[in-house]
Amino acid sequence: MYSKVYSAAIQGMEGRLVTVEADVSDGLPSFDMVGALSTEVKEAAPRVRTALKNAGYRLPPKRIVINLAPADVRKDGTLFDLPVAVAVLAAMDIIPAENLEGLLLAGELGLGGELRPVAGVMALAACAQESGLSEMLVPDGNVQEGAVNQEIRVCGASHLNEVVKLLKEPDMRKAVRVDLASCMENRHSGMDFKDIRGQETARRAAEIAAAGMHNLLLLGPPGVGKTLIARCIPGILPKLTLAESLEISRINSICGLMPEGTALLMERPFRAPHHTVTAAALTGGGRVPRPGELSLASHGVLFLDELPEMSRMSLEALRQPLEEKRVVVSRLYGSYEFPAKFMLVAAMNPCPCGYFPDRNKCRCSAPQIQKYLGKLSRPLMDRIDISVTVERLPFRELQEKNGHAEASGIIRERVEKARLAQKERFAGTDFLYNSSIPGCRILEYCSLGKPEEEFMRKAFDTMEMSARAYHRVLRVARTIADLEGAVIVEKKHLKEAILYGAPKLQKM
Amino acid sequence: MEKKINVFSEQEYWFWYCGLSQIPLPVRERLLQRLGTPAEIFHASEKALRDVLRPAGQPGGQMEPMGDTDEADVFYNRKILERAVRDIREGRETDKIQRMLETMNQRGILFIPLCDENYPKRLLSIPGRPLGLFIKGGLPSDDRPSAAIVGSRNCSYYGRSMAEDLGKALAEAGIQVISGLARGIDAAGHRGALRAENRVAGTFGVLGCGPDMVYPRENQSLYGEVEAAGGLISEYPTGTRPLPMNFPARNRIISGLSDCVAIIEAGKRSGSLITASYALEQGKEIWAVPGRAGDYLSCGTNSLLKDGAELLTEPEDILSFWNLKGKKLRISNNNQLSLDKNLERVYSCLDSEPKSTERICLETGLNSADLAVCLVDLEMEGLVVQPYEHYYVAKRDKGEHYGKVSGHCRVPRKSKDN
Repeated sequence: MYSKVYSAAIQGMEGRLVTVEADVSDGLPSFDMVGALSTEVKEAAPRVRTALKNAGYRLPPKRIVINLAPADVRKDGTLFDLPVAVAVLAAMDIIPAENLEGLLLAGELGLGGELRPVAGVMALAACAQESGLSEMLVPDGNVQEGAVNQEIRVCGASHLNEVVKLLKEPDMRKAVRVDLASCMENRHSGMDFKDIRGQETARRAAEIAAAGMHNLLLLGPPGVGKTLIARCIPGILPKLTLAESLEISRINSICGLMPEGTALLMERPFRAPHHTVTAAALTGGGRVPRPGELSLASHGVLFLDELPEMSRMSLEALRQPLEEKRVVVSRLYGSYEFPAKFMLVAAMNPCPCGYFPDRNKCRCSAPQIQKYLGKLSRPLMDRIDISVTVERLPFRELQEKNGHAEASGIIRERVEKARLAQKERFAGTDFLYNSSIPGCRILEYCSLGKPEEEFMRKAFDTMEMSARAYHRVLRVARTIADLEGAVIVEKKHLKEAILYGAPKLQKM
Repeated sequence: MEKKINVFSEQEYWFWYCGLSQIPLPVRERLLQRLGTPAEIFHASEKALRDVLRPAGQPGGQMEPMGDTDEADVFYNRKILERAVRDIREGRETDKIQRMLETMNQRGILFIPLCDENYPKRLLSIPGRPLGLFIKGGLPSDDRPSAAIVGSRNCSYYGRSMAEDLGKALAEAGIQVISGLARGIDAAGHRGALRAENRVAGTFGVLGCGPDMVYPRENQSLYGEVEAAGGLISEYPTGTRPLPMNFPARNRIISGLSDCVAIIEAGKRSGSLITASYALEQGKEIWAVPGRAGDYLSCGTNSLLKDGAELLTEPEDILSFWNLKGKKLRISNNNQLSLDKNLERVYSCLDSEPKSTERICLETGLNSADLAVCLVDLEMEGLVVQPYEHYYVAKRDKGEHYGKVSGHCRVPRKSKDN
C-alpha cells in the first residue's frame, strides 16, 4: 500500500515543500528511509517505529520504504518524524488518504509518541501557503507561531494518538487563531537609560545612532559601562512594526530560538556574541546554512565587545552585511540570503591595557597601541558613523542616588519622531535611514546653506577630513537635525556631528 | 704577522680597534694608554697584551687598579681579559677590515677616530669617551652651542608638545639639538628642530645601533630628515644591532655632545635619568621640565628639580644659559581673545592634561549639543587640540591669552611685545 503526506524542509529563510511517501509491501521485514537525508532525519526511523509501537500501532512484519521527495534536496532537522509516522499509518490504512490532502505536517516524536516542538514553523507556514496547501498540523508548542500566518489553518496536537484522531475525523480539527494586534502590545523589558548615571555624551551619541540607525563605537577603559549603554539601546529604538516583528520571529523560529508557545517576538533583539565568535557563526553557516548572529540581530542591536580582539576573518565578514543589510552565504548547493538589518554597536579599549591616554595607568608603548588599533581595518571603520568615549565617573557622580537621568521611553519618543521624518524623506527610495543614504545622493538630502557650506569647507581643511568622513558628518548631522525637528541642517548640527564623528583611531 | 709593520693606514688601525666593540671600553682605553696607538696594539704579542692588562699585585702585572671600583672590577675579571686578548688576536684579518672600511665609506658612513681633528672637542674630555664615531651626515660643530633634549619614550601629549616647541626654539636660536632618535620625546625634539623656520643649527641623533640601522622602525623618515639636517652619530660599527645595553651607553655621548641637557618627562627608572647622571658627571647643566606632582611620567623630572636641576618651563629659560633671546611663540591670529560665555567655560576647563568629552561635559555642565559647538569652534580657532580620539587639551600657549588669572574672571589682555 502506498501513501504520501506533505512536509517541508528549511532552506535558508524559506521552506521547501517535501513529499513524504511510504510504501508497505511484502518482503523481508525492514524499515528503510531514502531521499538525501541528514543524520537527524535518518535517525527518525527508530524513533518513529518505537513511537508507533508505544502509541499502540503494531508495525506489520513487512518491507516498509519511506522516500522524501524531491530526493536531491537535502533534508535536515527533526521535523520529519511526524510526517513519516503519518505516512506509514496511512500506508497501513489506519488513516484515510483523502484526509491528508492539502495538509502540511511537521513535528518531532518522542519514543512514547508525544510531539515535541520543532524549528522553523513560521517558514513552513509560509511555504504551505505558497504551495497552495490550506492546513497545517504541528506540535502544540509551535501552533502559535504557525498561526501568525492568517492565510492557512493551523492546528496543534500533543501526542501521536491525538494526531491520528484528528486525521481520522477532520471535523474535530480546530484551527488556532492569533490576534496580532494584541501581540503587538508587549514591550521592551531590558535595561533602561534611567538607570545609568552621568555619561551625557555617550547617551547623546546612542540617541543619535538610534535615530538614524548609525553604527556606533564606544571607546573607553574597562569597567566604565560600555556594555551597559549598549544594552540600553534596544529600548530606545522605535517600537517594532508588524513586518519587523514577523521577520525577527521567523529568523528566531528557524534557529529554534522561539520560546515555546509564543506567536511573535516583540522585543528588539540584542545579540552580544563573544569576541571569539567565528565568521561562520556571524554570517550563518552549516551545509544548509542557518542564520547567524548578524541575522538574529536584524532590526535590533548587534553588540561586539572587545572589537580588536575579534579575529580578522570575523571582522571582515561584517563588511558586506553592514553595507548591504543582508548576508549572502554561498554553499555548494546554492546560495542563501539572510537579512542583516542590524545596528552595530561596538565597544573597545583604547589600548591593550585599556587605560590610554591616562599615562599614570597605561604603560603601553606607541607600537603596541598601533598594533592593537591596526586590527581594525579602514573599510570596517568607515562603516562606523559615530564614536564616543565613555569615561570613568567620579565617585561623587556615582553616589548621587537621584540623578535626573532620562528614561528610555522619553528618548524613544524623540527617536521615533526622527524616524518618521526619515520615512517621509525617503518615501519611494530603497533606503530607510539617514545612515544608508548613498554617497552620490547625499547632497540631495543633506543640502547646506551658504554659511554652513563655508563652515564645512573650513572644517574639511582644518580637521583634515577625508571625503568619506565628510559624508559621514553630513549623514549624522542630518539625523541630529531630524531629532530636533529641523528641516535644514544647521551649523550646530554639523558641529555636533563632527564631535561624534567617525573614529579616526590612527592618531596617537 | 707580528713582524709586519704598518699593514694599514692609521685610519684603518683605528677602525679595526673601534670595531672590537665586544671588549669593554675601559679595557680598550687602558690598552691605548699603555701601548700608545691601535697600531701598537695590533702588532703587540699576546704576552705583552696580557702583561698590560694584568692588574698590579699579580705576578708581572703592570696595571694599577683605578679609583673607580666599577672599572677596576673589569680588570680583576680574568675571563674578560682573556676574552679581550682572544678578540684582539682573532680580529686581525687585514683584508676584511680594509674591505669593511671601503664599503662603509661607499655607503656614506664616515669614520672619525679619536685622533681625527674633526673628532668633537666636547667628547674628548668626557670619561668613557668613544674611541671613534661612525657618522652619517655631519657632526655637531664645536663652535656652536648645543643642547640635548631627552625624555620618555611613552610620553604624554604635554611632553611631546613641550619637546617640539623647545626643539624648534633652540634650532631657531642657533643651538644644535642633540637627541637619541628614540620614540616619544627624542623624536619630538628632533621634529621640532626640523620644523624651525630659518633653521641655523642642525639636529643630531645619537644612535644605540650601527649607523646603517633604523631603530625604531617608525622613525625611518625622521632618520632621513635628521641625516640631511644634521647627522646621525654612533660609536657602534655598521651592522651593530640595537641591543638594550647600547642605549644607556650612548646616553653619555648625547650629554657629552651638549652644553646642557633638557629633560622632559622621565619616569622613575627612565633612561633619561641615566643621561642626567652622565651630564652631572661631565659637568653639564641640567634643565628639567616640571610635571604635576604624582604623575608617573614626571616623577623623574620632578625629583631632578628637587635635587637642584634648573627649572625649564619655556624655551627662553634655556636660551638664557647662552644669554640668547628667542622669538616668543604665540598664536598669531588672535591675541585679543574674547570668547563668548560657553566657549570661555569650555576653554577654561581645558589644560595640558587630555580630557575626554565626557569629562569636559561633566565639568562644564553643558549639554552635549552646546559642548559640541564649543569644542569644534575652539578646535577650528586653533585654541584646543585633539591629541587622541575624543580627548582635548588647550594649546600650550594658553597662558598668553590670560594676563590676570583671578578665580573665574579671567581678563584677556594684549600680548606685551607685539
